[in-house]
Amino acid sequence: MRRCVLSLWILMWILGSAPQLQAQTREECQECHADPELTTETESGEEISLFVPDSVFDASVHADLECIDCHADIVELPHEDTLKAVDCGSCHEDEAEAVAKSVHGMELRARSPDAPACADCHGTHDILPMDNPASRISKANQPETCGRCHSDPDIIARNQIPMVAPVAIYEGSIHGRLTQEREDAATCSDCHRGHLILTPLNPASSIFKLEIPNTCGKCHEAIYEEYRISVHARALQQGAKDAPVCTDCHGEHDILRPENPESPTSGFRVPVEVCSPCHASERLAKKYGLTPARVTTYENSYHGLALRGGKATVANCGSCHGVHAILPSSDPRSPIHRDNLVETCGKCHPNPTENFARGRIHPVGEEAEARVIQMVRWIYVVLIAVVIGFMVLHNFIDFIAKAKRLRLAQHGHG
Amino acid sequence: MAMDKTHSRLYLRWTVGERIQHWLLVVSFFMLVITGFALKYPESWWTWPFTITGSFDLRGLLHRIAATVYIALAVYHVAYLLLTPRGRKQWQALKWRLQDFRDLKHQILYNLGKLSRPPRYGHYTYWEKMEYWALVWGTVIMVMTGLLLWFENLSLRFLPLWVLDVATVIHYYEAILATAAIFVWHFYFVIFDPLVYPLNPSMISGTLTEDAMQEEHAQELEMLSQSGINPAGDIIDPLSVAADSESDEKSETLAV
Repeated sequence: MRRCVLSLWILMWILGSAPQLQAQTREECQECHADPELTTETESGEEISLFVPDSVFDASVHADLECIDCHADIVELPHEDTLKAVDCGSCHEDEAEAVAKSVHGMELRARSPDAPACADCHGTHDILPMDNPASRISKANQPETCGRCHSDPDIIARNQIPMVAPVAIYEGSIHGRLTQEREDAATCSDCHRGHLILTPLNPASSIFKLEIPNTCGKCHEAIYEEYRISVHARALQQGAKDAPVCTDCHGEHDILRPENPESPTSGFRVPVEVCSPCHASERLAKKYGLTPARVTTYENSYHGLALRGGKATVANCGSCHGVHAILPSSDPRSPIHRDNLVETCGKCHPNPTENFARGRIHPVGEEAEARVIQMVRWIYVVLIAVVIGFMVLHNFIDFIAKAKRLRLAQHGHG
Repeated sequence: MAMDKTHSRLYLRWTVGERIQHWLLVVSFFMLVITGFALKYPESWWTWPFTITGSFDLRGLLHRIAATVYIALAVYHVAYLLLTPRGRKQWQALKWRLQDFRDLKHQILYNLGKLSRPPRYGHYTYWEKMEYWALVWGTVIMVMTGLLLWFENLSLRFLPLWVLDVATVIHYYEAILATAAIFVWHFYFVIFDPLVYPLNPSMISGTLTEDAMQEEHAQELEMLSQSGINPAGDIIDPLSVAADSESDEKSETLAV
């Protein structure tokens, strides 16, 4: 430190100019900051390096800038010991504005010590463009960068962040695995945005419920088009806030391929983990006129039993009702429309005939088929009660009588 | 039991062929019961032996193999009853007669202490006939509904799906009825009956002792002694004798 100041004085003395400098160049700053041992103490007494390697800065996106473009409060050398924080917003106005509105901006304004400033995500002198694999915010590196706070149990506890391990969960997901291999998989900012990160309860958020199909649809365009016409999308548009968007069935950070047996969207988990939570819910049934008993008819059918037994090839809800473009049976586009049923059943059952579409499927309540089934059930319950009841009674009397006889006989002999 | 020479005589109850029929029935019936309930309650802990191959199809496959054995046995049994001389005599002996209802009432009254002497039974008691005809009833129901469900693609060409739903319900409840009947009725008379316990061994040995005949088939024993059959040392076959006295009871035969 002292050597640097001294050399500056000598320089100025030689030049014979005033001891005040304007418009410093990088070379001038590097007179001091090229020294790897240059350090200072922060207010908290921590020693930090003030070394700025040329190689690092030259490789950064800001290589063409002068130091004072960012450290704008330096007007003379030597400069104050304590400089103001760099205001990235002086150039990056839109980004700064977005961050200010975001959850991070809220924390920054509240002066939370954990709140991330620009440099916490982007770095300082070493900022690289996003498409550089070494960048902190490259697709592959974002999980680690965000995880520096969002995987830190202390920060999560201190700030009462409800999502306790989003990064770890994400890294196990199909997106998390693919971001390490290819460029087009979704990383943190693809869903949450980079700067305008908002809570899902904020209608302006990219993860606000109604916005989720659009967010996912940025990549999954064809599926978005299917979902858009579905009964679920329509219900949402009309204000049914319980109707599902992508994440309600697929999960959020933990999304897996449907081929993965761990995924809720894998064939034999669909009825239990995806459809039943709503369609077998008494609360939602009351609200939206759903019929939970239909789920029961599936569970008790061969399809349902085999599925519960782990047979993944058997029909689940989606096999007949479709997946993203679920439509009511009254819609001619629906796979369960009467005209399409033969084809739908025929996906598994060879040579189906028109007869497949006869009669009601999943009959419940007062529907004629359901009443026949219920009647048969009652007849059998009565039959079993009467027949087995008679048998038990008959044998009970017989047992008592014979046991008595045996005791008498033994007594007589003894 | 008794040392008396006359009491050591044996009476033929089941031929070797009939015993093989019975034990084949036992194996296939219980295989059907176990695999059937394993299909109906796929997550139950006791279904673990069926999970070793990791395929749910195992229990279905075993159910169908057992069903094939069961159905083949049923077909053989009908042919046996219709086409063999002994089978025809069995059929005659298994028919319900008015006497069986009288015996039922008599036995209950006797057990309740209202009558001093037990009924005297012929070749089959009413509880054995109930057992047999319940099995026939159950077989008809289970085979019909079972085949509908086994060949579902064929069934669905002619029947609407809800008929298969009804068949599923019937197959399930009839299975409960049949299994409960075997445990409550059959097992009582061949195992838990205090006079029989621990086992009526006639389905293994094929014969009954004179004591057992006196206890459960007194009327048949009397008929045999009246007919003058006394082949000392040999096994007596009551059915071969019963054929002659059958005509006497014809008037009492009920339509089954």
